[in-house]
Amino acid sequence: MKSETSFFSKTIIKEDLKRFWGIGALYFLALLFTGPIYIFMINSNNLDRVNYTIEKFLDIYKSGFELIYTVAVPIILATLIFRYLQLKNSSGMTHSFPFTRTMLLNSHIVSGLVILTLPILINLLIMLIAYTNLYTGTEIVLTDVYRWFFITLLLNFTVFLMTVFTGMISGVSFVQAVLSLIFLFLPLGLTGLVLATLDRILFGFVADNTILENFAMNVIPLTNGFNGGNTDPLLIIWYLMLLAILFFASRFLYIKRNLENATDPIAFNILKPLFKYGFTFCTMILGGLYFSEMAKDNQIWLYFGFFIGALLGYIISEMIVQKSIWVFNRLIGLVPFIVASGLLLTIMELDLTGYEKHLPDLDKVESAYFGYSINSKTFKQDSRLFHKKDNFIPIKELHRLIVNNKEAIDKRHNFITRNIAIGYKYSNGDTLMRKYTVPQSFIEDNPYIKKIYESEEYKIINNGIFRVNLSKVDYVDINARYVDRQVKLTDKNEINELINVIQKDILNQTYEEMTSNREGWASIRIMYTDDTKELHDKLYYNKIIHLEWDKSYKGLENFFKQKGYYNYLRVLPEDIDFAVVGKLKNSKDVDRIYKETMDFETVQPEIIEGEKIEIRDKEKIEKLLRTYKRGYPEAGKYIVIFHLKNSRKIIGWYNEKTL
Amino acid sequence: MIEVKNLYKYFDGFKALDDVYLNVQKGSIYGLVGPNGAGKTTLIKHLTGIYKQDKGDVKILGQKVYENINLKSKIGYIPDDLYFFPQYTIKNMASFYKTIYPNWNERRYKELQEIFEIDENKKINKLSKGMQRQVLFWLTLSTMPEVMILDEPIDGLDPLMRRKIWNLVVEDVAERETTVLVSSHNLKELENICDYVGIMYRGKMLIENNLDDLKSDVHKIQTAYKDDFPQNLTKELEILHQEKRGSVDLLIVKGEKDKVISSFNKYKPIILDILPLSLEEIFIYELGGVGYEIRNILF
Repeated sequence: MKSETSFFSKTIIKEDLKRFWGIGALYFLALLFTGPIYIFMINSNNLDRVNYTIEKFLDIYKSGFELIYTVAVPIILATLIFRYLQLKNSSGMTHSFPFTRTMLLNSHIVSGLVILTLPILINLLIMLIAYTNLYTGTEIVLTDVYRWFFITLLLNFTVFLMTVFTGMISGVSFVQAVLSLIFLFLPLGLTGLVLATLDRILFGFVADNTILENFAMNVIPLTNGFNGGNTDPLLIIWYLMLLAILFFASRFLYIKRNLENATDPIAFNILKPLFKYGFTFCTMILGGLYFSEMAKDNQIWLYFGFFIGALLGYIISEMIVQKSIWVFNRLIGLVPFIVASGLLLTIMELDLTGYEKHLPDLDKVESAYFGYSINSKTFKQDSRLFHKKDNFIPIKELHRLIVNNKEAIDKRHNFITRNIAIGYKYSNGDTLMRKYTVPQSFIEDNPYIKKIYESEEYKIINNGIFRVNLSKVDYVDINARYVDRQVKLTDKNEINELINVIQKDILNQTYEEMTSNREGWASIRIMYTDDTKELHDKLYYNKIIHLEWDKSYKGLENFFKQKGYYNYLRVLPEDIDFAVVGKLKNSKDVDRIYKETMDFETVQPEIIEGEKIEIRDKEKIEKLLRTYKRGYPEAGKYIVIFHLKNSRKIIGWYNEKTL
Repeated sequence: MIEVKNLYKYFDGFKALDDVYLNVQKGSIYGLVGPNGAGKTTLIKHLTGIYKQDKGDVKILGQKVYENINLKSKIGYIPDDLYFFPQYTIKNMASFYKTIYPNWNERRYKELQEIFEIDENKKINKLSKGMQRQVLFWLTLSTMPEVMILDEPIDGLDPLMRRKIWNLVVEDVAERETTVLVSSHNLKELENICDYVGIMYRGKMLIENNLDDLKSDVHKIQTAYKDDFPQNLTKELEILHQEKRGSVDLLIVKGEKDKVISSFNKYKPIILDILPLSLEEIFIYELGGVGYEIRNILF
């Protein structure tokens, strides 16, 4: 009895339940109307609907309503239960009663948790009944029902305790609720903002989404949902610890709190500068990103945004702390902040840390990466890395070239740009990652890129076909483009031969051929049954390897000729009625041109400058077919339209060189 | 009984209580007087364990009040701004008080219902401010407190109800030796019921005294001498105030009555009258300069 009275007060719990049970009841109804009730409303003949409803309800992270409840209900409940702390009269009266603060806190928390748990528990029972009696699907198992219960509880408890915690920090219920909401998203939001800002300031900085996925999202169970709801046991332990931390922090603050600070937005003097400068920091970053986005990567606007953001943020936070709009005489406090952040930004902008100019010592490099995007996960996939020392050299030289041409590359507005990502892994496990956005013109005719592209390793890394395990290939589908002709290879030997031929062709390709932008004759899909993890990376579509029958694949051409598929699997001059070639008046408005040529039977005269030539000669058509380009006709001045006999059209481009 | 020593409290750098002391005897009624903003409520919130002092001791029944459940269950507190749980009836509130105050006396509760004549099924927040105050007296008296701390308790009560409540309080003191501390900004209101009075001004306790002692200690004397006023008297007596009205001297003198009179008689006065002194005058003269400053606010 003695120990019970010192930690809890039954009276408080009872009174809380009496006063706030309505919120629990509403939560119960809201949950009920989100899922369970439909299960019993749907005609039980419609099993698919029943199954779908059960599956959807139990996947809390995908059910928007349930997630909204887990944020809104605990915030409202905690704000109301701890409302007594935020008013002078109720906090005075309550604390004159024979309770200790610990008793008050513990008891209010217990009643809050009970009010949150009951509705979830009842819904769990309903779902258990529904699952055992109605569910016929295979998507979920019994543990998923319990998992739903556990995660829902966890989310509710976290948000509730977070709001209790912010209730101790703040003396205003509204601020308490808003702060709680902010804190829940702070780890993710702040990390994201900082990464985005560094990306703008530091040339070559990689906004590594692995940090977001592995860290920032996981800190709070709520944002973990955006990451697919990871339930790693270690993470669960962290979440339980987080609950404990929030509880003990609240207890500590409650004991320290001066009750006369009720109605103060921030109840602790020591936290006021922290709040003010933290808030200012966030708005500074937001301002910088906003203006830099508006002004398209202009550094001056970025810094203007930083300043405006910091100024506004400081004024607003000062207004909140002082509870007054007359804070302009206090702006002096912004000066140290501006000096400190100015110093930090100068260090980064002038690259005093040497971050931007840093190049690796190749002797210590174990493997390297070249591609379009990179994050720390990249280094975990050995098959995507270069291991031959010879190939490190062009990568580093390219890196050096970019670093030395920072000024030119940074002024990339109005150009077509491409991403280049470079990475090195040192023998001691350290990594160096850089990502650059460079103008297309920088890539074209770049000797280092040519060297990298033509290296055997690059080709192997970037073509899944080099990792095909023949014994696991089911079949190969080959579909001709523009004509309705396809072949399905199922013979293992034939498939084996095909793969070997393609591999050889790829290894023989030149840089120019690899980047020619020519459309392939046919698309090849290798259907695969493999469960190794590597297949899940971006280069492959799940269990299919997509390939093109590239027009430069001489070996494949011979192979198909030999097998008799050649004429069958490509568009032939015989398939084409006639082709029209003309010079484009203006190649800038490509989208419009493309649309117009698709819409009308013949090329509209206004986009063609001067004469258009109609070609019916088979040999010439074959030549045109082999050389036209797809994609964005930046340098393309000529258009070709093939009119097929099956009434489809092929639209392609040439520039003066290829013509 | 109630003992406060060297109490300091700061609100954001503002010194709300400045080296405050307070002593209340068991079974006495102590009047805490001071103008608005003097620190009365702040002091009271320390006595009821609501505020935590920055420095100093706050003890009741020899124990520290802060976070002391046992002690707090013996204190009855009527705050200046009332609070009841929303939507609660008097009966609901009474059952709440019953569970948290171990000395709750149901018989007393019923008896008091007769006196206050309020329907216990009424929602408290629907009642007027004055009625709410009565409800809180009703509830607080039912907890059989050993100490009652009343912050401006009769504000908003009609004269009849004031008398009723004072009667209840005084009765309680007489029967159960309850100790009462009551604050007010009006000294006259407390003059008739208090045994002790403490005056607060700008966060300080200016003076604390037994009313009877005060009254028997300070004397207003009207006197006239054939010759000039004997200057030796100013050396013999502690004269707080002296003024001349024609041939008559008006003096406020501190000291034992007999001694004072015999001192005056030594110089054969033509007239020697001892006049009654109001509490107001006592304080004004006692406090000297400060007394004049606060007389307009306090009395």
